Amino acid sequence: MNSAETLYQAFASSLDVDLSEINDDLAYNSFPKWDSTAHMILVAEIEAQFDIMLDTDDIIDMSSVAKAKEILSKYEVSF
Amino acid sequence: MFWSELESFQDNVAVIEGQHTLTYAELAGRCDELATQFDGGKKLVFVFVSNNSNGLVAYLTCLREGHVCMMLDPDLDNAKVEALLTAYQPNVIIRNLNVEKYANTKHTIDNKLALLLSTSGTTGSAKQVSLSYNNIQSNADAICDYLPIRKTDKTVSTLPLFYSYGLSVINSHLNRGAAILFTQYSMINREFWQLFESEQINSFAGVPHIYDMLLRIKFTELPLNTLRYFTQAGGRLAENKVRSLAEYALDTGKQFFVMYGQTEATARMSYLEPELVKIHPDSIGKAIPKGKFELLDSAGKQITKPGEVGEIIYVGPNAMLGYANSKEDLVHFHGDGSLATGDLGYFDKQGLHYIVGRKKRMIKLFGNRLNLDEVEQYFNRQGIEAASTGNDQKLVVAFINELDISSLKQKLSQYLNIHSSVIIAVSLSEFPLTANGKKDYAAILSQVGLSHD
Repeated sequence: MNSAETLYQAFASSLDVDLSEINDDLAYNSFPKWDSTAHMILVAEIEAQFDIMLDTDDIIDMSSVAKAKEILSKYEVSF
Repeated sequence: MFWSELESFQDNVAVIEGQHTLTYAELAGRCDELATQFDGGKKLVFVFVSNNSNGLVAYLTCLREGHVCMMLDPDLDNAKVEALLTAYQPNVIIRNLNVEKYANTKHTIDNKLALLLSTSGTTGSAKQVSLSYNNIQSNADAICDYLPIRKTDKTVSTLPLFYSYGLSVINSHLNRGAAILFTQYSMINREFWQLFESEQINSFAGVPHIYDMLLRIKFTELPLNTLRYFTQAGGRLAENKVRSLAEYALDTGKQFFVMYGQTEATARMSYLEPELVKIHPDSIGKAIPKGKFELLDSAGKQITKPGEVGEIIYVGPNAMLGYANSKEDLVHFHGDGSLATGDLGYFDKQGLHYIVGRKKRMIKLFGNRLNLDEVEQYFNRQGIEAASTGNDQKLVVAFINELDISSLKQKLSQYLNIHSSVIIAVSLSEFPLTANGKKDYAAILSQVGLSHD
């Protein structure tokens, strides 16, 4: 799996939805299943999959899939 | 009663919502406007209440006009709403200030009854906690006695209004003439913390899963200069977390209140003085003003010695009228002001109370009470044998020789409306049994590598 696939998979399992529902435009405020609980599960999943520790600013800024990619690139994950 | 005296706080700000504010006088005016849509007599009203000014106005209007208000989650699924409609036959349904007439029946309702709240948002049972006007006012008064809520304070609504703890934050602030910020952002959003800073919020309320989240995002590193105190209730928060939060509060000159309550007690039953939290992170403190705890042993005898475990009984003016399962139960209540909490605990020499367990088979997930026997009944109704156990982090369901346990798990997740990651489903060849032939839940729990804590 490449980084994008890993990230999409992390989103799908955390939001409890099918992989096909995940795309870069998916955003926190427009997707009811992406609530605070799912967000924390997502953070844990991303940290485990990419072996990183996200800091406070990154966690509260991660408001869309595209934004997650942007944040992950700071941790030297390339897409 | 604070709801009928909103006007007395006149130009104080009551509600902040986006760019808009409502003073107490304006809030009262909004309620009077909504009231014109009701015709005479005490009505039974279903209010689908969101955390915004519309939800607040609907709730307060019912209290002001003497209608009985059942507070409901606007996202409650249709089957559960239908079951409640059938059981209670409300006269009126309010969604987002839209008043819809429903049943035309004139109900006989006890005059004391003000409010119906569910104890669990999940299993969709018709069972409601019935609360009186006096319950609501007395609990708001007691909370204002021990929490440092000032008339000039602003809090932010972080818990649903249909949840007793969330509602108690609203009630106690309105009782004091203070302001409440409503926002659609959650505590994991950057925008939430920006608002927190720009609106100069003084307090917030959390439950264990919120504090797990806040500690995880290291909220203590955020600049929360105006925050004076914060409260924890709604379930047991792990001791090490209570201690970290107490230390953060001590280091930054804030106060951290650990509290204990139940919907059956309107909300609050006890609190721990902030200066004791670090030393006794496992304690629920002492009863709120005008309330008291008693402990009963298994024979029903009162325990007077420190350290002896018994069922915690709460006595106070905020103890509910009783339970209701349908409209027939609303006719007359004879609550006696005491409440068997179902929690087992003890007190120490200082008179501080501690909880050690529960009498009934209950777990709490994301702040929602979940009756484990109801989970088993859910599967039994479908002809599937199940044994359900768990702790406050995971729900465990064991089946006998079921092949497709992942689809059973998905169905349960949907039915309970909880994230499937907190459900562990296993298929066994048989249930482990205790010596007297009952399902051995402890053994099932340890088979999946969990313990009770």
